[in-house]
Amino acid sequence: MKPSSAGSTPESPHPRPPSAGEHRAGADFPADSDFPSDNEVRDTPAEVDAAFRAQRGVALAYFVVFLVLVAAFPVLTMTLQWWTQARVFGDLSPGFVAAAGGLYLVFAIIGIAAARLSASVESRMLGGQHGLDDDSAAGEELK
Amino acid sequence: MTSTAVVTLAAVLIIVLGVSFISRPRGPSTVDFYLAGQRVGVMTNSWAICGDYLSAASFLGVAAAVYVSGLDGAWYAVGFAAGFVPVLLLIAAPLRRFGEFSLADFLGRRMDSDPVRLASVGVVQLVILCYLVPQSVGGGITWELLVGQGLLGLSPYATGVLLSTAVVAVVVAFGGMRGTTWNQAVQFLLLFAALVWLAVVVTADGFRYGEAVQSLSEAPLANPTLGGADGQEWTLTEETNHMHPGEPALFGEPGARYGPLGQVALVVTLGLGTAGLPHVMNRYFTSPTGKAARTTTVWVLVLIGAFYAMAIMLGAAARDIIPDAVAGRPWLQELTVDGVLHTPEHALPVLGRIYGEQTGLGLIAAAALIAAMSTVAGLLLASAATWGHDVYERHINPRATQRQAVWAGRITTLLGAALAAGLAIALRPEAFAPAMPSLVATMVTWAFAVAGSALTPVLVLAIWWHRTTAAGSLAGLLTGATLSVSMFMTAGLIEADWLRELLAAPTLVVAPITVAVVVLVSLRTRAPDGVQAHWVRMHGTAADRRAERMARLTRGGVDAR
Repeated sequence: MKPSSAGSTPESPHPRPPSAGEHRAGADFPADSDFPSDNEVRDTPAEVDAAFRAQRGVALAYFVVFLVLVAAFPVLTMTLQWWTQARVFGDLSPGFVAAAGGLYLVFAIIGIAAARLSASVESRMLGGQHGLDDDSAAGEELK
Repeated sequence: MTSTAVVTLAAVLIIVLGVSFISRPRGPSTVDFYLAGQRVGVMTNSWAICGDYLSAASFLGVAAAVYVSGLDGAWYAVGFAAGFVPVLLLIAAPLRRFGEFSLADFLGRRMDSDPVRLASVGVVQLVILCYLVPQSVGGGITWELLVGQGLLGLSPYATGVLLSTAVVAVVVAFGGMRGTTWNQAVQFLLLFAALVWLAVVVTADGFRYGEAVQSLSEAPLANPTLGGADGQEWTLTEETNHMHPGEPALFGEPGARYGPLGQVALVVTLGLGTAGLPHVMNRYFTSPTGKAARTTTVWVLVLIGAFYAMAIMLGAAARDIIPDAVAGRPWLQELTVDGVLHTPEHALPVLGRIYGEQTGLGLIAAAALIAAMSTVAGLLLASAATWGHDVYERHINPRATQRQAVWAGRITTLLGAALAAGLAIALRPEAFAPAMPSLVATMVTWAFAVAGSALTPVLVLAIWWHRTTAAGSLAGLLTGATLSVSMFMTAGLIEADWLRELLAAPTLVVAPITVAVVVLVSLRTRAPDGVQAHWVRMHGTAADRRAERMARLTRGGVDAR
């Protein structure tokens, strides 16, 4: 990435419209190439590819769980009388409990679990922090 | 105009203008104007995304849908909330790490293609228009209910549309993303507080959720319809059971509104549509890192889950409480037939007035107005980013200075607002009045359908499949947009059955077709150069680590002073 806008003033024209990352060269966070690489661990394409494949597995696995949960509702309604007739929580049926609150709780749990796992994968596979404790890394993610 | 209306409007104006003034941009920078300097923290951004996402349709509409359809009304809420799961799993972190100004900018740079950028601008503007017009309509309806008077010879509705849109347009044009972010965050907290207040007072008054649903499900579900000899007499009509034809539809059981296919089609359309909503996804570019964008989405899932769970409960509470509250309240008798509201969108304002008199009504009306305004702000800013950055800076004046680029964004914001207000007024002749709530809901669903059918599949493939090409993306965008528009326009012309349910929420069918088109065309064309560099930028974490280290150093510097 070429920091074409580095040092530009509000009045100076750009040779081409810069990306947001390039703009940041003039902001508080510098663009990628503005820093010396002496004390930095850069991601190699091979490392990123391996991390990408692991992240893709995590995303697909959780997405399948999500799809099964959402698709299960009409299937249960059609096939299981208990789903709409039983009373399980304050006189509410299991189907009503799911649509009125349970599914949102499940969505949040899926989100938290996926975010922790993704953070753990990234901290293990990228940036040379292989010794970092998984739990502490995941905990830091959700702070 | 009552004193309640005056106080409510004054409070809304003070909050909106005060927050905008305090958080105004510090200089003519496009990163500051469109992206708030990319320094919006996790909690602030999650509140702002909620404020952006939770429109008047969510605040009044979900409770109204449950009020009128029982359990089936909850499917709107499930779809709206479900949308952030794919965002978290597939989009938030990589999109932010790639780090552009808008969805169109992301797709244009990822594919290294101006045609893809321009096609994305077209689809994004279609989504924004479908979403913006109903929000302006919501502002007009709220003014009509709250104030009931027009200014300068205009009708109350037109006055509401023009004033609410104008205030937001000015705030966005001069506050940019920084002012809009803080406004949306504060507005979400007020919206949430209004729902919590209502839930607390209703529960304290003896409302029991389970018992109420049980009691409401003992008789067939019936709602007011206009009938009689002159077509002006309100009568209660039993709802059809779409899940088990022949049986009565009940409040606590599925079937009052959708069959099994309709349920899934609606949830998929709303769920996938969220990931393609430009005003919501642009907010992710304001996060400092990809990691922060992901964590922000987790908080959004938690907050909107709580919001929708309360909205559903209050829809059931309104259905249970209002029939007994009619006696002794002449104003409520005018709004109901046999204890059921003519207009379900009045459910929350009526509950507010029952429990808080004029003050309660004012609070709920203010929250509704705020919900519409915060979403309009996000939509105008997303529109400004695509016109100002993707069209003006890229194609009209590539050598624009920062100041010119920011002014282009401001001017396009004002033009977009004028267009939306004009359309909102044109779409509201008095003859439309009884159908207006459904028009609002229908147009919002169109926005989700176009976003979920055209933008989301292309976005996901651009992030996760390195073979995606410019030609494939272009074909996918055009196919998804054309098919989804054709299908939901056709839905209005056919009889109500399973096919109409599918056509009205077309993403379930169109999204797989779009994916197939992108894959087939991409496999037959050459992938753009530099995919590896894009992959390192999008899926690597070097920029995140650098930003985190800089943030620590900055904090350390401040602490050391």
